[in-house]
Amino acid sequence: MPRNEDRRVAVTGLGIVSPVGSELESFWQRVVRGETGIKPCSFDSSFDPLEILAAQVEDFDPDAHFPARLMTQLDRNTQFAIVAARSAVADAGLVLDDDERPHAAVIMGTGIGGIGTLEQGYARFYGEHNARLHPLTVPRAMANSCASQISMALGLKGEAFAVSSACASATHAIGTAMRLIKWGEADVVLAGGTEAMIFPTPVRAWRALRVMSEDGCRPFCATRNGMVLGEGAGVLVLEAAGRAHRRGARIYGYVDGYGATADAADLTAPQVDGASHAITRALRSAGFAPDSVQYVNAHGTGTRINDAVETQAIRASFGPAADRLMVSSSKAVLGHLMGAAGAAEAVITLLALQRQLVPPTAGWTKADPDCDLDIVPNVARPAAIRRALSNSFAFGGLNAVLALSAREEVVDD
Amino acid sequence: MSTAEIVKAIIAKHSELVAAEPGTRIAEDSRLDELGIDSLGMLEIVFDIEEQLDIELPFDVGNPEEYANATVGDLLGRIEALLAKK
Repeated sequence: MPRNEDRRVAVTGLGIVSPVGSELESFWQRVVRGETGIKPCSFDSSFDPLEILAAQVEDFDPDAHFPARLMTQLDRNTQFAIVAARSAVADAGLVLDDDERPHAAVIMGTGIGGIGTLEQGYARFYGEHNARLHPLTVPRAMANSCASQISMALGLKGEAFAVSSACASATHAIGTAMRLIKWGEADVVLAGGTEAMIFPTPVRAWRALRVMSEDGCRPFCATRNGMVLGEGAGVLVLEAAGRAHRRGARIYGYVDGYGATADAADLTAPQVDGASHAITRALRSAGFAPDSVQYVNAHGTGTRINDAVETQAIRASFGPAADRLMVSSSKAVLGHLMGAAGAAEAVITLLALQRQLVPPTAGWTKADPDCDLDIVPNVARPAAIRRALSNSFAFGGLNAVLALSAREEVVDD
Repeated sequence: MSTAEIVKAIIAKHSELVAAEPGTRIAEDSRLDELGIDSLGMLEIVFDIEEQLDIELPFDVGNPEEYANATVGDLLGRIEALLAKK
């Protein structure tokens, strides 16, 4: 298929709300320095006081962003989403005229939507025996609230919906957004993900799965023993390259390909084949030969099984070229942002392509023969990177991978 | 605070007009729609009133005739009648 440069998908704006900051430059600096946002968090309860590690968004003051009257409509995940979307639009210098607004789309991923709102409702009903629930519980908790509220906040009237595929939600959202632009259905799409589930019951539910680390997230390290929950949002402004060029927009890079698969196997255990097929599809979708890719931002959760399976999947897709790849996980810094993870990690991968600097896998202490890739331990590495992947592999066996390239990249047909 | 003061404070909290013009006075003959209160705002007002005054306030916000033409005084009258029955 001949490539239409006009419909290539440029990324012109990035917005982030994260445990290591909500301003793009300082966020990037902390990622590059491997400064983690993971800390001990207490969840007091009279019958089960609990302290766990989590990566919470600090210094986020909803009152600074929203009027009191709007606040009752907004779950924490939606607050993050709107703030990230506004930042991305400002970062892009995006101005839409009246002819463009009806076509501007919003696709957001979230693993679970407004679970904090639901928890408040349950606490009131079961805990306080108060049957009078807040009248906006439903529209606040619904998973599509993030996409709806962004469309309302910014007046975007094109296709808008939420995608849910657990930890791969934002990657599916960005991939779907890429297709909308490539197919000519939209010229501008805001895409990303959001999640806010660090609350007493979801945290205990996660612990019940026994995948949480009690001493830190150390992806690809021999001592790794689990993941750490995070929260936040990431939004990308995707724009048809023709439009971006005509307005002289700053382009971080391009979303050139997207691959997604289902394992159709186990609910929680990742599978090499499913992950590898998603990687291979993303490479083919972008027209990238395996040896033309320099960097993979891994899913890298820090669980025993994910990182070993992901290593095998990368090897299966890249073959001998895997030995020349740089592969790093950002989760030691961010924690696992769940439905926002793919967006935050796409932001990181695009900044890596723009700055020609590979962010490290922080927290790493000891090599694991099951993770025998160049995982860029602890120290960022300046490198000529033209093409990169961002991997997301979700519970439920749903895999999604983005193929991204640097601004000056010339695509060979 | 009197019932009227409580109810007016709740209405003020949800009024678009008060948000736009903070000095706006909530009078008994002020119409709810003219105070910039939509059906979602009305739902929240009913909720806040029920919470603070511990009453069940029947109010069909799906029916525009129930609230669109209603004034603050109309709402107060209903509330005081309910409180009198308690």
